[in-house]
Amino acid sequence: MSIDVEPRTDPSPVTPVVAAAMLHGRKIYGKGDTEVRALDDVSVEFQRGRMTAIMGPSGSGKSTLMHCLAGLDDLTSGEVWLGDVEFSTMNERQRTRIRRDRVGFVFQAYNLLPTLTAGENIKLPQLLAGRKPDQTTFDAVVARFGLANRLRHRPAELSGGQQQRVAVARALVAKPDVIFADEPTGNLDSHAGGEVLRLLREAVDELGQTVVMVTHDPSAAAIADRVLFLADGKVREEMTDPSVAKILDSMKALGG
Amino acid sequence: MFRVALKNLIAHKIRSLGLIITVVLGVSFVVGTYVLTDTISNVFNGIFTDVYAGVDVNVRHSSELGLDAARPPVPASLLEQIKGVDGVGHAEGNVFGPGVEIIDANGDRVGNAQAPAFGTVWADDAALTPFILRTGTVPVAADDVAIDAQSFDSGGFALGEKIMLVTPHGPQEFNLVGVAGFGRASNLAGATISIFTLPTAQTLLDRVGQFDSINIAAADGVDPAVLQDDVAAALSPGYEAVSSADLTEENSKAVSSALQYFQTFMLVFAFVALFVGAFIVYNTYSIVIAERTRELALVRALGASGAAVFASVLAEAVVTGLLASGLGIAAGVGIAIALQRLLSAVGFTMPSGDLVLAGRTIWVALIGGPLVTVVASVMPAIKASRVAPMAAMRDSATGGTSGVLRNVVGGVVGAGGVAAVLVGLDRGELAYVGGGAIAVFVGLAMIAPMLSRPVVSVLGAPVEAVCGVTGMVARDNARRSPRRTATTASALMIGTALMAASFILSRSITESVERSVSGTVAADLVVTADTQAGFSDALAGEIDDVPGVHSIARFRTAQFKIGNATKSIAGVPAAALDTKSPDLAIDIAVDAGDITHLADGGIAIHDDVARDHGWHIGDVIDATFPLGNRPLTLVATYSQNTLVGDYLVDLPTFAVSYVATADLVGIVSVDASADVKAVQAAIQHIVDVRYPGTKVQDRKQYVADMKA
Repeated sequence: MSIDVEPRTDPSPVTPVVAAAMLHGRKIYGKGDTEVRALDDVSVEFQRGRMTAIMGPSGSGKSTLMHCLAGLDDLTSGEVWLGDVEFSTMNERQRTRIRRDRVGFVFQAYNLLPTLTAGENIKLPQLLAGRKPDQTTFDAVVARFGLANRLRHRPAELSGGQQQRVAVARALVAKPDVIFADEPTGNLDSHAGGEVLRLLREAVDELGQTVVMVTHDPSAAAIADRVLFLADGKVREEMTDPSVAKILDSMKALGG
Repeated sequence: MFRVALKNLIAHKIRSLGLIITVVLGVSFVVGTYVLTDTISNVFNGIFTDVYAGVDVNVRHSSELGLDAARPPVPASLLEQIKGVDGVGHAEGNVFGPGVEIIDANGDRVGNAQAPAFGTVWADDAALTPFILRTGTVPVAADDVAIDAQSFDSGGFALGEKIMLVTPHGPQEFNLVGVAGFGRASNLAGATISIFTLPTAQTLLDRVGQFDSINIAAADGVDPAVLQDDVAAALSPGYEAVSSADLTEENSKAVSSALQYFQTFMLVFAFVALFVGAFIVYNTYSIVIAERTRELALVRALGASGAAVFASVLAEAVVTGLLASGLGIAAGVGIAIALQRLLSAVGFTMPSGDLVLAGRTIWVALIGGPLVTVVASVMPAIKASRVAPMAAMRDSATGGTSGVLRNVVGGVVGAGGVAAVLVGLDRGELAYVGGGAIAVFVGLAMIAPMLSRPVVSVLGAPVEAVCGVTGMVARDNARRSPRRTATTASALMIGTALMAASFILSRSITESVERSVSGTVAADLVVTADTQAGFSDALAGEIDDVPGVHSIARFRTAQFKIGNATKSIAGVPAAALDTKSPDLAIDIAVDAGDITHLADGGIAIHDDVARDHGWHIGDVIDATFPLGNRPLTLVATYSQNTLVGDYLVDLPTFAVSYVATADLVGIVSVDASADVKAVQAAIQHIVDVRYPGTKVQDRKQYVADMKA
C-alpha cells in the first residue's frame, strides 16, 4: 500500500510488533477557566495482532483517545503513529486517505449507508478509493460472517446484529492496519453482541488483525488481550489477561 | 462516491421526482417558447419563399422608414419604362393594402380581430401571382372577387353568391367567383385576403394610376441577379429593385420581430419558474443535507474526502437537472403544440408545419436544467462537505454555523437589491428592477433564519394558547431549526411576492388608465373598431350626416421617424384638442404653447419627451414620413398621453404624410339639443348594417372598456 506521506526521519515507536501508538498526546478544549484536558500526556502502544479494550467513566477521554488514534480528530500536542506515518504532520486530506486505506471502523450505531445494499456497504471503502475490492477476501469474509444470502438486502431489512456483522465485515475486507470499534455492542442484545465480539476475536486470532475497542461493558472488555483504564484524560491502569471480575474491581477503584 | 449519489437519487424516488418536476416546469417553458416561435418563423419563411418564388425582381418606392406597409406607391408609368429594360420577361403592377373586410351572412366580420384584412390583385401571369386557385375562376369583371380558402370556409360562403365587403370607400357587394390558397397555406396567419381585378383594386385602395410595387419575371435564360442590377440601373432615385430572396427575408424578419414580444413575455415567465425552481431545489437540498449529516459523517470517516462529498451532492444535482432537461424538452414540445392549438382556437390559424426543435433549443434546455440545480445546490453541497467525520459517532448532530457572516452578507445583498430596484424604478430600467428583486429575495432568504425565531415566537403564541400542547410542540418545532423554517418560508415568500406584485401592477395600470381616460375624453360618444387596423374611411362621413351629431373627430395613428427613432404619431383635428372650441373631443392638458397652431402644420409633443430631447416651443423638428421629410414646428406640449401618445399632428398634416390610413377612433360630439342615447342608437344602426366589427359607446362604456 503506497501512501504519499514522507516517512519521518526521527525514530518511529512503531515496530513490527507495534501497529499504532500515541506519544505524549494532549487534547485540550477551551481556554483558561473553561479549559478541559480530554487527554493529558497520554503515551500508549498497540501491538500488532492483539485486541485492546479501552474503558473508563464518561468524560475520561476514552473516545477522544480513539478518535485521535484513528485520525478522525487531531491532538493539541504530541504524536500519533499509524504504521510508518504520523498524523500530526498531515492535513485533513492526507488523514482522510490514511483512514480510507489503513483504518477500519465499527461504530455503535449508524454504520451503514441506508441506500446501499449490505454487499455494497462492505465494499464501500474500496468503492470510495476507486479500487476493485479483492473478491477472494470479500467472499471469505462474507462466508465466515454468514452474510452470503443477505448481500442484496438493504440495512433496513437486516436485524441490528446483522447490521453490526456487516460493519465488522466491511472493516475486515479492507485489511486495515488497525480496526477501531466504538461501543460495537452498545446497541445490541447480549446474544447479538456476543456474536459480534466473537467475530472480532476471530479476526485477531485467525487473521492476525489489530483491534482497538472502546467499551463500557466489562464482559466485552474481558475478551480483549489487554484493557486500558482511563480517567481524567490519563491512563490509570493497564491490565493484561483480563477477566470480568478483575475489570469490575478496577472500575470500582477508579470510581467508574 | 458517485455511485452513492446515484443510489441516493434512486432511493428517494418521490423526492427526486418532485425536484425534477419543479425544474421541468421552467425548462419546458423555455423549450415551448423556442419551439413555437421557431416553428412559426419557419412556416412563414416557407410561405414567403413559395409566394415570391415566381418573382425575380420587385420594384418599389424606397422607404426611409424601413416600414413596408407605409411605402408610397409608384406611378403606373414606371411599368412601361421597366418593360423596356433588357431581360425583363414579364412585368405587372401589384396593389396590396389593408382595409378590405369580408362580411359573412350574419353581418359579422370574418377572421381574427387582431389580424388585418387585405385587398389585392390577381396577376395575369401565373408566375407573378402568389395565389393558387383552389376552386372557381379568377376575378375578371369589375365586381368579381376571390377570397382566401380560410375565410371562404369559416364564413360559410358558396361560389357564385353575392358577398359584402367593407372597403375604404364603404360597404360594397361583389360576386364571389374564386377561392385561393396563399402559396400552400389557406391564409396568412388569420389575415383575410380579397383579390380583385387590377382596376377594381386600384379604385378600392386609392391606387388609380398607381401601383404599390411592380413584379418582374426574368426572360428565359436571364440571370435574376443580373436583371436586378439592370432594372436598378434604369430606375430614377427614390425607387429600388429587390430580389425575391430580399422580400422573403424582409417578411420573415417582420414575422420574427412580431414574435419577439411574445417570446420575451414567455421567457420572463420561464425565468420566474426557473428561479422558483432553484429556490425549491436549494430548500430541499438544505433540509436533506441536514437529515443526512450522520450518513455523510460515516462516508467521511470511511475515507471520502470533503471534495468527494461536495462532488457527490453536485452530481446528484446534475443528474436531477439533466433528467429535468430531458423531460423539459419533451414537455416543452407539448407546450408548443398546446399553444399552437390555443392560438388557432382564438383565430390565429397557423398554417401547418413540422415542429422545429432547433439545436439552440436543445442546448439551452440541456444547460439550463443542470445549471439551475447546480447553482441551487452549491451552498448545501459546501455545507455537506464540511460535516466532520466524528459526527458519525455522536447521537445528535446539528451542524450549526454561527451565521453572523451569513446575516451580514444577506443584509448587504438585500439592501443592494432594494437600492437596485429604486434606481431601476427611477430610471425606468427594467433590468435593474428585475436584478434588484432577485437580490432582495436572496438577501431575505439569507437573513430569514435570524428573523424566523422571533417571528415564530410571536406568531406561535396564539397558536399555543388555542391548541395547547399541540400548539406548543408545533411552535417549538418551527423554532428549533430556524434554517429549515426559513427556507420553507422563503419558497412561499417568492410565490406570494410575485402574486402580490402582479396584482398591484395590473391594478395600478387599470386605475391610472381609468383616471386619465375619463379625464381626457370630452366628447359624448366614441366609435372604435374591433381591430388594430381601424375602420373604413367612409364611416366618419356617414356618422357626420346623422341628425344630432355636432362633429366627429377622427383619430389616426401611424409610424414616423424623428431623429433616428421610429415612433408612433397620432393625427387629430386641431379643433378637437382645443378646450375653447365647441368641437373639443380630447382634453390633453396643454401645458405650454397654443394647440390651435397645430392647424398651421405644427406638432405637439408630450412634455416629458420634449424635455428629454431639449425641444422648446417654436423649435423646428425634422420628421420623416412615408411621403417624405417634413419639418414641423413644435407648437404645444401636453401632459395627458394615455389616449393620444407622445406625438400629435393635425389631421390634414397627417393626411399628406401618409398614403392611406383607416380611422382608429372617432370621437363624436352631440348637439346640446339632441338626445345622446338616440344619436348612439342611430350610429349603432349604421355600424350594424354596414360596418361590422365597429362599435359605438358612450363615455362611460368606453372608459370601462379601456380598463379591461
